[in-house]
Amino acid sequence: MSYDLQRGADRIRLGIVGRRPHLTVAIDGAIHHVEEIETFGESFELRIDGHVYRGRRSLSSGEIRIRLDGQTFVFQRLHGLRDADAAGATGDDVRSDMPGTVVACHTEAGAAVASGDRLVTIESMKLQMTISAPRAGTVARIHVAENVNFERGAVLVSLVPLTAEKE
Amino acid sequence: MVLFRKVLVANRGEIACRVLRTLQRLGIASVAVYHPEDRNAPHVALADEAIALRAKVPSGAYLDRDQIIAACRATGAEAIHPGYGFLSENADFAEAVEAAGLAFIGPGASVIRLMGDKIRSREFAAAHGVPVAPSVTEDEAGQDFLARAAAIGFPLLIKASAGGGGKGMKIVRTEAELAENAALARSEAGRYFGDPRIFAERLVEEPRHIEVQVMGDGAGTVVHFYERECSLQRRYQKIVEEAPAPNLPAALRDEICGAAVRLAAAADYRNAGTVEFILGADGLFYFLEMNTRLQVEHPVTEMVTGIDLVEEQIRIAAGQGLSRSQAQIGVTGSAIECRICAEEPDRDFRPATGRIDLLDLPSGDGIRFDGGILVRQAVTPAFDSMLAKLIAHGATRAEAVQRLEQALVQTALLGVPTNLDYLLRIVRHPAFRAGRLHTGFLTQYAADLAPPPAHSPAALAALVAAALGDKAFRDLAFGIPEPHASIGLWRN
Amino acid sequence: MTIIRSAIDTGSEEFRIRYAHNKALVEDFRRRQSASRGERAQRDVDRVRKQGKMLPRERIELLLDPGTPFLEFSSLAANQAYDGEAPGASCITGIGMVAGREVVIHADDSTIKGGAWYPLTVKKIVRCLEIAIENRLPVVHLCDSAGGFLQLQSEVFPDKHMAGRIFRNQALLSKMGVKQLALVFGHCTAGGAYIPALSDYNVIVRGTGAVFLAGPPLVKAATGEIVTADDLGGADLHTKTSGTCDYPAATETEAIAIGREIISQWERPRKTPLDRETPEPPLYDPDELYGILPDTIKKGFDSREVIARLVDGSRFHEYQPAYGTTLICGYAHIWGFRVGILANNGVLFNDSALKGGHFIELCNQNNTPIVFLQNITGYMVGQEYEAAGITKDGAKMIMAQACSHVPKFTIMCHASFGAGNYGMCGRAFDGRFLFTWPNHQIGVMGGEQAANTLVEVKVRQLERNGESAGDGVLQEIHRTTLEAYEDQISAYHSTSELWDDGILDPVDTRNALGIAISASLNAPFGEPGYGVFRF
Repeated sequence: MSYDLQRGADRIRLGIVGRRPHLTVAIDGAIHHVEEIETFGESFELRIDGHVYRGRRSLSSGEIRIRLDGQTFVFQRLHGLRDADAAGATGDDVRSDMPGTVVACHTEAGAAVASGDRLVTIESMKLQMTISAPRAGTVARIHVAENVNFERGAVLVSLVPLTAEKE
Repeated sequence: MVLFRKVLVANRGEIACRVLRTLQRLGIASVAVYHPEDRNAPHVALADEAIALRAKVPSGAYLDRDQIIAACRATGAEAIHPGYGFLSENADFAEAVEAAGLAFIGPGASVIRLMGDKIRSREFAAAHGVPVAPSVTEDEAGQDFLARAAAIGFPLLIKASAGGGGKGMKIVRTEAELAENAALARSEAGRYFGDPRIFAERLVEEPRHIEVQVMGDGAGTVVHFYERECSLQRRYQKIVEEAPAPNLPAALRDEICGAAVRLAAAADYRNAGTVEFILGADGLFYFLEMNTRLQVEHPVTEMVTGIDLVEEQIRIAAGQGLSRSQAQIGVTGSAIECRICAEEPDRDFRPATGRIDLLDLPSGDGIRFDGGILVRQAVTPAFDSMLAKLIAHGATRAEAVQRLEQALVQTALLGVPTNLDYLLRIVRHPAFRAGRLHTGFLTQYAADLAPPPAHSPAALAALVAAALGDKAFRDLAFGIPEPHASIGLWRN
Repeated sequence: MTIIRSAIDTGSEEFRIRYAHNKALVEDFRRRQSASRGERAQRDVDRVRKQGKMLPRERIELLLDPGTPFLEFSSLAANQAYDGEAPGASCITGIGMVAGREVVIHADDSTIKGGAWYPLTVKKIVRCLEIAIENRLPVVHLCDSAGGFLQLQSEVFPDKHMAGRIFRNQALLSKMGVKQLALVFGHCTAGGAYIPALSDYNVIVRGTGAVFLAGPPLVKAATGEIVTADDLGGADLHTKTSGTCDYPAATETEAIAIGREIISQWERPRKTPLDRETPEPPLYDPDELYGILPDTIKKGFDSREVIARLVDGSRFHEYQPAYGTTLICGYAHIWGFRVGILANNGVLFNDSALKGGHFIELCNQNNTPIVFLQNITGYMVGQEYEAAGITKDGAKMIMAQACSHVPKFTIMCHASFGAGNYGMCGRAFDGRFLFTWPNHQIGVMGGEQAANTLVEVKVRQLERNGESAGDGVLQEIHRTTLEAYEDQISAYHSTSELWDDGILDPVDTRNALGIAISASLNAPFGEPGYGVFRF
C-alpha cells in the first residue's frame, strides 16, 4: 500500500519506512525524520530532520492546503477508490429496479448528462424516486413517457454507448 | 458640528468596510446596500442598516442608480459615498444624487465628465501647463510629419492612428531610422486597419507610474497629500503601491505635486482626486489621467500623512471645506500596500474562485489590513478578484519593507488561490528593496518571481504537514499496533 | 533479570570457522529462496503481464500497510518435490498487517502452471488456514488459480487433510467469527471457486477475475455449451446476477483498495492480555549467531549464547540454574512480550526432563507463552537411566508440554533427534508456529547412528543364518544408509514437506517470534489441565 498526494501536475509518494522512535518517510528517494510537536486546530508544529516548521493547515474533501513560511501549498488527495463508472454502473441501459409509473422525465434524447444527473422520476409502491445517470454521456433514447407504467427491470433510458461516443 | 446624520455606502468589499469604519468613528449612522448573494458579507454586518438590492447579476445591484437613491430615501441617508469602481466615476449618478437632494461624496458631475474623457482631459492639462507626452499625428502634420516627429526627440514610438494591440508599432531610436520605420508602420497600418495614418509620440522607457493625491474645496483651493508610486503592475493593474516614491529627487517631487495641484485647481476640483503621471528616467514626466474618486491605494497616503482621507472627503461633502492647509500636511516615514487578490500568478494571473476556509490576519506595529472577507465566504467570479489590502508603515522604507514582509508571512488565506506568495517574492526581490521600480518590473524579473522549485525544505515540510492532516495517512502512520510498528519494514 | 554474560570470543579461530560455515549455509538458503520466489519461465511472466495482472508478490506488497513486516511461511515448500516444478508450492502464505489488522494472507501464484494446486500447495494452504483458526487471524485470499493439478488428483483430493480441508477450515473460521476476504484477480476454478464463495467478503476484478465450477473447456466437453470465461463467471455475472461476488473492481489496484477499506471496517481484535514491556534489542549482535552455531551436527554449543542474541536486552531470568543443566529454562522478553524459554544444552537426563516438565507447568500457571529452542539428540539411553526411569521422566515432560494451554513456539536450532523432539514440542504437538534454521537436521536418530544400527542388524541377521558378511558389503550398507538418511534429515527436506512453517535465517528469528507471539494472542489461551503424570 502506498500513500500519494498530488501537487500540481506531480504525484508525490510518501513511503512510510519507520514508526519508531518517530515516523520516518521516504520522499523522492530520501529518508526524512518526522516528529509532530503540536497540533492545535488548524495550526501545526513539526520537526523534520531536526528543523522546526510551524504553519497552518486547512482541509476540504479534495484538498489539503498548507501555509508555511510565507508560502501556500495546495495538495490534492488521491483516494485510490473507484468512481461510479468503475464501480460497475457502466451499462448503457438505465433500468428500474421495481415496477412503477413515470412521474416526470427530466431529459431528452441527444442531451448530454453528467454522472448523477436526474433522468426520470418514478413512483413505485406509493414512493417517488429519481433515476439518475449512472455515468456521464449522451441520452440515446427515452423509452417511457409521463404516466406510463413499466415492469421491474424495464429499460427507462438508454445512453449512447461509450464506444460509439469515442468515435 | 454635525457633518451628516446618516451616510449610505454604495459599494461592497474592503472599500465599503473601510468607509463604514470612518463613519462609525465620526459617529455617523451608516447604511449598506447589498445583493442577496452578499447577504453574509462583512460590509452588511458592519453597517447600522442594510438594504438589499435586486439584480440579476450581483454586480448589477451596485450599479443600480435608482435603487441606491431609493435606499437613501427609505433610510433617510443624506449622502452617498461611492467608494471606488461601480458608480464612483459615473457623472450621471453624481448628478442624479444631487438632483435628489443628497450629497455625493466626490467631485461634481462636470469634473467627472471632463476627466473621464481621455482627449479632453489631456487637452485641459496641456492648456494649464501640465506636461503631456509630446506627440504628432499625421493628419494634422501633413507633409512635414517626419520633421515634426523628429522635433519631439528620440526615442519615439510610431503607432497606427486607427490601431491597437501593438500591430504597426515601431520604436525609433535615431533620426536616421525614422523615415524607413514610418513607411513600414504606415504600410502595416494600412494592411491591418485599412487606414494608413500613423502618429508618433515620445517613448518613455522603463517608465514609473507616479500619482498625486489631491483634495479640493470646489472653490479653487487645492492641497496635495504628496505622491504615490504605483509602478508595479500586472495586466495593467497595480498590485504594489507606496508612498513616498523611492529615489525621487525633492525638486522633482515638488514639480510633480505642483503640476497636480495646478490641474485640479484649474478645474475648481472638489473632494478627493488623483492625478496620474508617467515619469521617465530622464526626469521628464507627463500627465496620464485624473481619477475623480478615492483610489484603492489611498491607505499608503493616509499612513504617511496621518490623515483619514475618507474623513476629509466627508467634511468637504458636508460643506466644511479643507481641514488643513498645505503647510499642515507632511510626510512621515514610508508606507507600502499590497493588493491581495484571488488569482493564480503562475497561470497568467488568472482570477480564481473558491471558499475561504482559513484566514489569519497580520498584526504588528505599522500594519494595516483593509479587508472585507470572512472565513467560509465564497469567492465567486461575480466581483473583482481583489480580496484585501495589506499596508505596512515604517520610519524608513527599509523598515516598511521589512514589516510588510513579516506581515505577508503572517497572513494566511486558504481555500482560494491568492497572490500572497507572489507578493512576498516581489517584496523580497533585491530590485524592489533597492526601490528600482518601473512599470515593466514584473515582466523584467518574471523569472525571479516564478514559484520556487518544489524541492525546497518548506515544500517538503508542507507535503509532510499535508499528509499528517489526512486521516488516510494518519491511519497508515499511527494505526499500526505493536510489535509490527517497531519491527517496521521486514521480509524473511 | 540478569544480562547473559557471553563467553564467545569473536576473534577466535573457532568463531571464524563456524561463522564462515553458517554464513555460507544462509547464503545457500537465500539463493534457493530467491530462486523459488523469483525465477519463473519468461513466457509465464509475459502471459500474466499480458493479461494486465500483477505478480502475486506485487499484490501482497500493495495490500500490506507500508513499512510493516510480512512473515512469510514455507518459502521453500515443495523445493524437493515434483522435480522442482512448484517452487514455494505454487502459493505464498504469511502474516502481515493490513489496515492496522494482523491477517493471514494466502496468494495463488499463477506464474506456475496457472496457479494449479499441487498436493503440497493444498498442504500449505490448509496449514495457513490452520494457523488462522488456531490464532483467530482473519484471512485475505488473493485468488488466481486454475484449480487442482489433475495429474496428481489422488494426492490432492480425497483424504482428510487434502483440498476439502481448505473449505472445511474456511467454514469453521467463519463460524468462529474470524473474517475472510477473497480478492478474485484471476480464475477460481472448480474447488477454487469455493474460496471466494466461502469468504465472508469478496471482490472481483472486471475482465480478468472469474469464478466457476467448470471453466469454458470443461463446460464445452460436458454440455457442448460455448461460453467465454467472463460470461460464465466474470465480475458482472457474479456481482449483478448471481450474487456470488460482492464488489466489482475495475483494476487489481482498485480491488486491493476496496479490500483494504473492507478490512478497515472489521472490529479490532481484543487480544489476550500478556505483560509487555518496552522492547529493547539484544545487547549482543544476532549476527554473531553464525559464529556460535557449530560447523557439524556432532558439535554442541551453549544455548545461552543463542538466547542472548534473541531476547530483549539479552536479559534472562534462569530457573534452576544449577539443576538439570542440560536443559536451560527461564523467563525473558521478546519484542516486549514475556516468554518462557526451554533450550537444550545437551542430552536430556532425568533431572533435566523433570526440570523441563516443572518449568512448563510454571509457564502455564503464569500464563506465559513458551519458546522451545531445539538442539536435542534425545533422552539419555542405557541401563542406568532406564533404571532411574528416564522413560517415565521423559513422559512427564511430554505430558506437561502436550497439555500446555499457553501458546508454544518452536525453533529448530540444530539437531532434533529421537524422543527429544517430542518433549521439546516437535511438529506433532500443535505449537502455534515452528521454524527451522538452515543447519537443522531431523530424524529418529542421527545418520551415523542409523547406519551403524542397520549394519549391526544385518550382521545379526547373517549370523542367525550362519553366514558372515564381508567388510565390503557392510561398508556398502553403511554408505547407502547414510546417504539416504542425509537427504531425509536436512532442513530442506523438512521444509519441502511442510514439517515446519519455513526456514529462517537465524538473525530473523527474533522478528519472526515477535510477529508469531503477537499473532497467537488473537486467540484466548486454552483451558488449563493435564492428564495423568507417571510419577
